[in-house]
Amino acid sequence: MTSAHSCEPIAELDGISKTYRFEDGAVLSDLSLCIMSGQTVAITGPSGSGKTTLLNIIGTLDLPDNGAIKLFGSDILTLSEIDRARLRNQEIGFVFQSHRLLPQCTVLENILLPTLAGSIPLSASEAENRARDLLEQTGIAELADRYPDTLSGGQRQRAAIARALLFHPKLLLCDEPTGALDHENATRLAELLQSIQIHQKTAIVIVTHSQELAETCQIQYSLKDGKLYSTEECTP
Amino acid sequence: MSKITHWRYILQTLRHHRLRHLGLAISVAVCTAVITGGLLIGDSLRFTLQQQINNRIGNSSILIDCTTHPVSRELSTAINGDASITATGLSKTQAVLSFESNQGITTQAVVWGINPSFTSVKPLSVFPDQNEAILSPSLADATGLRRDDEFSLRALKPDAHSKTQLGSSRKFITLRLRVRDILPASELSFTPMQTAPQSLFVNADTAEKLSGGKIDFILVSQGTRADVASALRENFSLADAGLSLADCKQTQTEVATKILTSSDLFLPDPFLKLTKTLPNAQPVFSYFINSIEPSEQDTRSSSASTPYSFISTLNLLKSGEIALLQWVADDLHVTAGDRVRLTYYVLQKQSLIEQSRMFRIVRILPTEENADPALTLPLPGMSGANSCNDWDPDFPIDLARIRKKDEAYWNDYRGSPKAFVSFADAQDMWRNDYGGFTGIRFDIPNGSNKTLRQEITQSISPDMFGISISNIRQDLLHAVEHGVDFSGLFIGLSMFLLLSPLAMAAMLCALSVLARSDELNMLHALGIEKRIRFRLLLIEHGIVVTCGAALGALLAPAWTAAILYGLQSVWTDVTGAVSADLHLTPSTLLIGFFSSLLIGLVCIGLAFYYSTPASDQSHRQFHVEHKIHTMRLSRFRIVLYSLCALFGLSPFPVLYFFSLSAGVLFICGTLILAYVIIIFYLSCTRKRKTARKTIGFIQKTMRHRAGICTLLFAAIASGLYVVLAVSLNTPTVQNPTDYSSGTGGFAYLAKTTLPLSFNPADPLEIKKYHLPPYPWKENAIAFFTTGSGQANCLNLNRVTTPQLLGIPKDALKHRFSFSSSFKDYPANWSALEFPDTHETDQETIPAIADANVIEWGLGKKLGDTIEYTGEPGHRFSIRLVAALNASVFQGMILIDEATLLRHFPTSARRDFILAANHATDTNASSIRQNIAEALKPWGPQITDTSDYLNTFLNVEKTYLSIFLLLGTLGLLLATGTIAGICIREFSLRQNESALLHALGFSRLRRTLLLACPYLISTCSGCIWAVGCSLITAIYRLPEDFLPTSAAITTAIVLIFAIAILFTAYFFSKPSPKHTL
Repeated sequence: MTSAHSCEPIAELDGISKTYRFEDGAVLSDLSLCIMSGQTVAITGPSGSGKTTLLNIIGTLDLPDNGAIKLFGSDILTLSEIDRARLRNQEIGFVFQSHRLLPQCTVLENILLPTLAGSIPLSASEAENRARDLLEQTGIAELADRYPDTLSGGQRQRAAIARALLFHPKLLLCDEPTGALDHENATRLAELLQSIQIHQKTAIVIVTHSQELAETCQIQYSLKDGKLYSTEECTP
Repeated sequence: MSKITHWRYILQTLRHHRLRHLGLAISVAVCTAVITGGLLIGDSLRFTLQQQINNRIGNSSILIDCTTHPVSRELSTAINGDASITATGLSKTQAVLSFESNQGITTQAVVWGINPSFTSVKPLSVFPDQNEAILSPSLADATGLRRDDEFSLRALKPDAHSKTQLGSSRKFITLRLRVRDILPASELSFTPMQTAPQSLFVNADTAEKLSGGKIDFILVSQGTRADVASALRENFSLADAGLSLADCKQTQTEVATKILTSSDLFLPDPFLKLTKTLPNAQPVFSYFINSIEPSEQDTRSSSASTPYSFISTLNLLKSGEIALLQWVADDLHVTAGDRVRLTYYVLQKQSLIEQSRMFRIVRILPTEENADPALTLPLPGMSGANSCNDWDPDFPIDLARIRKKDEAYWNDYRGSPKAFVSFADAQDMWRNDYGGFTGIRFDIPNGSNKTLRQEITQSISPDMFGISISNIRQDLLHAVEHGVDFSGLFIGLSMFLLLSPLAMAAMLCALSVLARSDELNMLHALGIEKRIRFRLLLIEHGIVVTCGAALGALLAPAWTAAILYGLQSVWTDVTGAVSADLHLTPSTLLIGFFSSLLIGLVCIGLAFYYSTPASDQSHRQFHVEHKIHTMRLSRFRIVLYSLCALFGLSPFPVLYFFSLSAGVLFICGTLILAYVIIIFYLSCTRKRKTARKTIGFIQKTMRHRAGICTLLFAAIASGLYVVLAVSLNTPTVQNPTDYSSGTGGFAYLAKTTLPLSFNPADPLEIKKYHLPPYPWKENAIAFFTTGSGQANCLNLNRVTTPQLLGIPKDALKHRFSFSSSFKDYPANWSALEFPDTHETDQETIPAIADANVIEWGLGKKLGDTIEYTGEPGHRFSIRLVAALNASVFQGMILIDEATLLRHFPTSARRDFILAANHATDTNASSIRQNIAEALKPWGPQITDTSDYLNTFLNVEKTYLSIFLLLGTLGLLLATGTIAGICIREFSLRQNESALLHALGFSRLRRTLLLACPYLISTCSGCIWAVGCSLITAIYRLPEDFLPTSAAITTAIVLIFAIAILFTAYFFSKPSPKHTL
């Protein structure tokens, strides 16, 4: 993966902790992390180590018990739920292990779903043009009017990535994006993410078990006992 | 352009989930149909009753009620003559019909005397001629009489209706009439009751024979109440008041003496004020006595006695003093200073009792100058007689006692009083419920007779005679509006049918949210705010609910028609077979539509609220919270168990401390069932250590699916419980031989068309009136009643002043049973004698009524009061102080007999008789025949008290059967829902089945493993429902209950078991979609 370093921090996590009452210890303990714009970060770790929790906290789907978290310079803990939703809608993209496309909507409509949030930075026609561009980029332009249940797993995941990129987010969070794909599709998806990082300068955080996918990222972390261990140097 | 908008998203989602939404729409449609149908049933019945009013009273709006004091025809003619008023006079007579064409069966009827002006109120296609009658269809049906048939009509003679009774009349008049026609227009009634009146119209000339030319009602079709009141007052004459002004014997040349007397004989106390307001007026009390006899020590002739004389009052006399005419003094050989005994009848409870009193003679007055016939009491049957032998009064006299000299006195002086006592003594001896004096004497200058007449006329008003004006249409419509609320009733009875689809709708919404949790979480992750997600869901489901509500509103008329058909064919007890037509009003349809829409939206709103994560956190967080919740539940299990045990066991102390009534038992059964449901849930969620054995696996599955298993258990158990408990608690007449039962231990109830003129329960009266011996001996009570309109469950109208019934003191001691009483009042018959301690402006009388009459018929509670108008027009209140358990008195208000007679001395009718001992006399059919024969002249309707009570209980039973039917429909709907849940569950667990299949489980074993949690839930639900319903009727279980309930339970359990096993077997087959 080509590096495109910039000094602008996208996400700054400082000493965050998260504990669930049904689990013995803390899922995340005094964890700090800094993600710069255009960076690709891989987080690996055993099942139950808190990878998804960390991703949810970065994506404002969850809040830490302790510590500070800043996204795009804003303190997340001071933002209202509506502001956090707006942030997710326009600045963050999510890609899940399961594509989570709505079966009742076409691929194009699925990609346009974020426009339902209301106060969007694009007009309807601009949004559609951008959605079609994204379909071109992800290589599924001809599938725009098809329904998800007629697509293959790889095609669905590409559509999901296109949906995540609709508003050109500065941060793309991927939770096991290749988990449900075969090797060929997984490789193609990794290439697609790499391409996005290069062309759109989007910071990408990938939670994965796949060492192959992790190795395509600039920075790799391993999450164990609630703490992050860097596999190569990173400037926080 | 293919842009996605909220509406596009909603529409595409609607299309995608159409099947799931169809279920929701159907649920809401059922709910709407039931609610709107309930409202339409109420509308239809109300409309029918309103139409009934229009048919019965025509276009009249105001009624002048003169029943307490019938007025002359001229008065109605005069009022009708007013330019702004159209009115007609009517006479009303209760009569007994007999007709040979139908083997001499008699029936009761109301005879209305009408004149041609009646057609201005109700058009008649034909008008009856002399001795012709127009019958109402209901009377024609009851009698089988057809056009041109002849029949006899028997009623009390006109003078028997008046107040001029020292005794009671037993004189009847019989008319022979021909049926001119049968017309619905002759259904005339002013009583708020839906059953068709059995009435007939005769013309005024024919009616005159029955009513003496008086009219009882003036019906006004045009004119305001104020105009009518003004016209009534202007035209109300002394004759209408029954007053007449006569000249007394002139004793002074310059002063004329006049006396004002009443055709009613007695003048009530309010008239005493006339003696104060009118000049030179003084009250007079004239009376008829049986004899004047010298006292024993003053007797100069052993046989001396002056029979049957009139006595009057003289103000000069003091108490205990008497002045005799010379004629009497000569007859008795007495002189001033001697003592004489007066023997006379007094009226007590409309019966005559002979009493006597001693007086000291202070004056002997010259006969010629003091014998004044104007001072006599104009007794019917006597005052116009030419000789004493022609006397035919309404009280017993022995004409053999009349001597030649008595006849000579009558010839010379007619009814001139032979003696005079003080006014105070006269009042003390003879005042009764009718009044305290008989006339007013005026000493006026000669020639001012006309002025006096005017002054008297101006001093009296119609309301002094109990003549009242009412807005009859408004009152009857009010009775309909406030009558039985069939809308509320049917919505209540359909509660199960209403709750089932609502629960189904809520469940479908909750399932919809759960099934679409991925979608919702994804929208959340995409930054779609919670309010937008909620709005999208709400609009989507709101559209479905709206469609369902619209569909339900369209189906509602069909549902209403079905219920109305049931009310007119199967459930006739409830409405008295009123033929109600479907009446659709757009407003009701809209109300039904919007109310169910609102309920549906609230329902789905709640479902979304409770099925979406509490906070706007991630899906994972939701699961985490759920786990925490489960853990907390586990920690508090012991506390919860304890609370549940306390809650469940609470019925037992209740049972111990309170009576074993059906209500308490129903609460017990319900609490225990609620407790069992909680315990079932807790048992399901209890941690299991191992799943190695089959039972362990089933327990683990039940724990995993605790919610759905508990839902199944609760739905089956509560539904079946309500149906069984209601069936078991269907009311029945308790042992009718028991004195504390609703029959009071009496075998028969007789209601007579004509009031009895004697007390048939009094052997002395039977002897006195030379009546045949009665068969009931001492086991009979004849009650006085007054008014009309019973507030029982057979009447759909709200009766504001129900019929009053007088309870003789101590007559019902130890009979019937009481359910409750007000504050310090005892729950027994002595409550009627307790003085009212509340400070009120008017007299308040303690009263008793059936508990369900107080609650449902009157819409009141113990301690409440009802205002009545007594005679002659004074207001008083009754306070409901005690409540009876269901009794034969249902619909009436019971007060003390003496009080009733005091307030209604003339209109009180002795027409309600309870007779014979149920324990010993019911089997002897001859007793019933004997009663019928004895009371035949008065037109008796004799009913077995058990049957009579059953007519009321049948209404309750019918309501319960409707509830059961609708409840069963609801249960079926719930069962359908449960079946849907099971199918969905089995469908979801197909992967599990595939795993078991891969592990080598046989299909039968897989079926059992899949089905067992649901089998256990439903079957145990059935068993607990039967158990708890048994508790509700533990003291009144039918003998065949156990085998019957065992059979029913087995059948239901088998049906559910087969259905569940079959479904599980179907889904246990591995499918290509669900393989490992």
